[in-house]
Amino acid sequence: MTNIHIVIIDDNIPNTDPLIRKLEKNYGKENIHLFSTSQDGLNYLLDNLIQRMVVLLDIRFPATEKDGHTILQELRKKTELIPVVIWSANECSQNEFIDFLKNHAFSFIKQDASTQEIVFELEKAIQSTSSNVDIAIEQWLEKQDNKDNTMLVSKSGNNYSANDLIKEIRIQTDEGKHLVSNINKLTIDLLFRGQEKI
Amino acid sequence: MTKTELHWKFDVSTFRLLGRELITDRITALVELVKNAYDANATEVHVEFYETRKNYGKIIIRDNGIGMNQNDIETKWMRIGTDSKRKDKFSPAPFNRRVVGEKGIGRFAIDKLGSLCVIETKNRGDLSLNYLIIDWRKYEDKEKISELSNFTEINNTLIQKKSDQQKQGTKIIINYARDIWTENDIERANKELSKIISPLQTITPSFNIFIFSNKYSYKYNHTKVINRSIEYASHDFKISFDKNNNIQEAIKFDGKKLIIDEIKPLSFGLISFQLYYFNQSAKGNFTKSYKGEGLKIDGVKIYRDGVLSTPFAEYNDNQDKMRDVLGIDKRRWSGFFDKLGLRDLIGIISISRDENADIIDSTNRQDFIDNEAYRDLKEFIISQIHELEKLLQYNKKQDAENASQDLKQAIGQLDFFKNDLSNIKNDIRLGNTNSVVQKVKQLEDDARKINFSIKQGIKNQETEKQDSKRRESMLLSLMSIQTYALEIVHIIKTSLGMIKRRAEFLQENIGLSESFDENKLYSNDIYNEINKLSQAIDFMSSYTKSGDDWCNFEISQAINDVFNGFSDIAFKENIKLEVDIEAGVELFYNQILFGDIITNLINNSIKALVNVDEKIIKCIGYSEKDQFIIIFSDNGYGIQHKIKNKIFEIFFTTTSEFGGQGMGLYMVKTNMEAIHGHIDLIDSEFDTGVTFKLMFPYKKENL
Repeated sequence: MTNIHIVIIDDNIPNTDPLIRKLEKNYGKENIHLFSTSQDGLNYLLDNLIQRMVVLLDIRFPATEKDGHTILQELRKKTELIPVVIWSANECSQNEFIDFLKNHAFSFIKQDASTQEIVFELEKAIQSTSSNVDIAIEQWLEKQDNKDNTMLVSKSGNNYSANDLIKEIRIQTDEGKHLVSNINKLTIDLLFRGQEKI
Repeated sequence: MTKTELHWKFDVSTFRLLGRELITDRITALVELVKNAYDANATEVHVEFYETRKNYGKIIIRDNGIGMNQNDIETKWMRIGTDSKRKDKFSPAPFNRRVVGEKGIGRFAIDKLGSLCVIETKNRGDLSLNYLIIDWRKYEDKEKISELSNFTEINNTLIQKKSDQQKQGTKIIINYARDIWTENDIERANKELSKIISPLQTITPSFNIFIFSNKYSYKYNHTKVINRSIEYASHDFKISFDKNNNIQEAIKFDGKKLIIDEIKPLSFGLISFQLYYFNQSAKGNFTKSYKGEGLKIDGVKIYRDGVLSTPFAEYNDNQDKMRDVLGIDKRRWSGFFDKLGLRDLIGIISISRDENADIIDSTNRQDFIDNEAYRDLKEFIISQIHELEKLLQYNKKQDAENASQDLKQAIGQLDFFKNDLSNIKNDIRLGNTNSVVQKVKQLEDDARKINFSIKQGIKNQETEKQDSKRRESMLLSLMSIQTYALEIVHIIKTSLGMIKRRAEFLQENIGLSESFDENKLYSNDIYNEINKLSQAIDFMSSYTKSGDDWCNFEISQAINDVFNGFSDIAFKENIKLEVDIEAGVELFYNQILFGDIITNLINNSIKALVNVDEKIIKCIGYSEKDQFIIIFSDNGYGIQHKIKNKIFEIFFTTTSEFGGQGMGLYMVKTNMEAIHGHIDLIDSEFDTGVTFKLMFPYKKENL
């Protein structure tokens, strides 16, 4: 499976923080990305949709910057596959909470949580990604020999290799979403007919 | 027995101490020098700034007044504490201006502005031009050597050169200007100088000030200083005459407004008349922005050929002693409330020797000779004032009626609406369709909305009316408890998280030699975070105290107190503190919270100035419309453009190596927001450093 990238978007935490050190130790320094400006963090996410990522996102940013709500909302316009853990000092109001739910926040953790608690929460988020269809396909593809060979021809006549398919799924193009939904339907159909072994 | 005469010695530092008492800031210094020009019968003064954005610029103040000869210089200018100004309440003939300069403090003003001064001065008719050179650097040197510090032992050079006999005036050239004069400072000077210019230029001979700055020549290119305070008048009118067609203008109230009527000349001849009426708030604004002696809100005066003819109704603190030759105030005994008094009016009647020959000065010069022409003139003036009074009465009535009329009108409209409704209901009764029911619903909805908006409108109008009657107070409110709680929770939780993660790390790695560096770093971090927490708690307790610490205090006093608290540090760090706050403005607020704002800004500046050579912290303050403005600057290393948005965020700091915790500006911002004020980072006044603009709104009662 490809590396997991952990993206932290928070304007207070220094890069020497024990949390960052711990994450670097656990997941490799090159896989931890810290952004103190919310827009920079969002740009990174949008530029790297093809990667496997989880996000730790602060809510409060300087008045001139986009806040956590907006960042999540803008990310969700592009993809729903990246789990986002909300990391906030303040209790959120009911409306805020609903807003986060609507935008598929993965979970909430308080700003005064310990390193252990945060790592635990992030680990859950990472686990969740491995049950996603893209990861399943990826794992399956790992076993294939030629990932660049055409695997599928769409109704419109486009050719897709295994790698193309992962990309389409991760950046959630129409083709990608369509494929995921079809695979799901097929899986459910097969399961209910007791034909999981094709 | 021996007998010796002993003399008082007057050392340099005493002299300068005296100067600092008398001249508190450089704007005052400049204004004093210009006032001297006024007192010397000048009609023009030029104030020029050269290269004053850099240190050691040059300031020139030149006038066309009567100037000084050698004797004047020695006996008046060079003598400390001369009383010649006190004796002469009026400037020399022919102007006889009322003296505005304080007694003999011009020389101190020069010291305040710069260290090397050359004064070029000459009386008309004298053959020689005098150059007096005063080098304060000499005095400063002596001041350092204590044993040779007698003020009177220092020589100043006087050079005399032949010159044009007709020339007169004084030119003060100040080199090595002590301060940097930014555009902002020159603007302040402009504002202060305008206060000594008469807002009405009909008075001859006029006195004009021009400002030039080579750095800001786009704005100050021998630009005339103008006083606009007369515009504060709540009502004014002007009448004139047409000599060729023999027409006199007169003002008349036509039932709604004032119009200009044309009448035949009266027995006293053709005149022009300007009248300005000031209501209570207009009066306040006028006195704030005009401090000259030429014009006061003290009634109607007669000028013959541009010169004040008799000291009519000369301003006197005791109302009874004011001469009311036109009988304006006398009328007030009957119907006090409807009649305008001398203290509400500025009026200028212009007559001339040729046109109004029958108006004759009495020999004691206290009045005019009582004849038919003069009686008619008095009657005419009173009648003109009465036309204005009619308008004011009408306006007052109108105001009172407006609210109730609106209400009546609104109710009328609603009645129509009700009629529409019952018509539709009739339709229904006659068995009409569902769509009518829908219409009715719609109408009912609309009615409710209209009703609401009308009520609201009337309420607003009433509040507005009430508001305009009240004088502005400065009551400010704290931010809402909820916002405040959120702020505090954010501070504490963030900080606690930082500490918790570090403590957790230490707990796991305390004995491990490979994490020695981290252990050290995190122990430090914990210490700093705990400091932040204590600061946050202090911040919080200042709010809990805030309830009982609200009081009226003078802004300039409060700011000066804060700065005085820093004078030791400033001295040690060699920082020049420059504070210049408009005096006399009171604020009703928590003085501690207010002080915190200034303290935080100074603390930041001190940190930002550590590696700077000529350190300056500057704070100016002034009242502007409905708010008090403070401009706070330093010439430290400034703020990089890309982080400008962040500086007011909690824990954001650029001065961590000097102990900055990132709380200061955050607290300032929060404090300002609590009182609906603002703090903005604006373009730096100096070439480097930061400038903040703080705006404290005077709160309206209905907010």
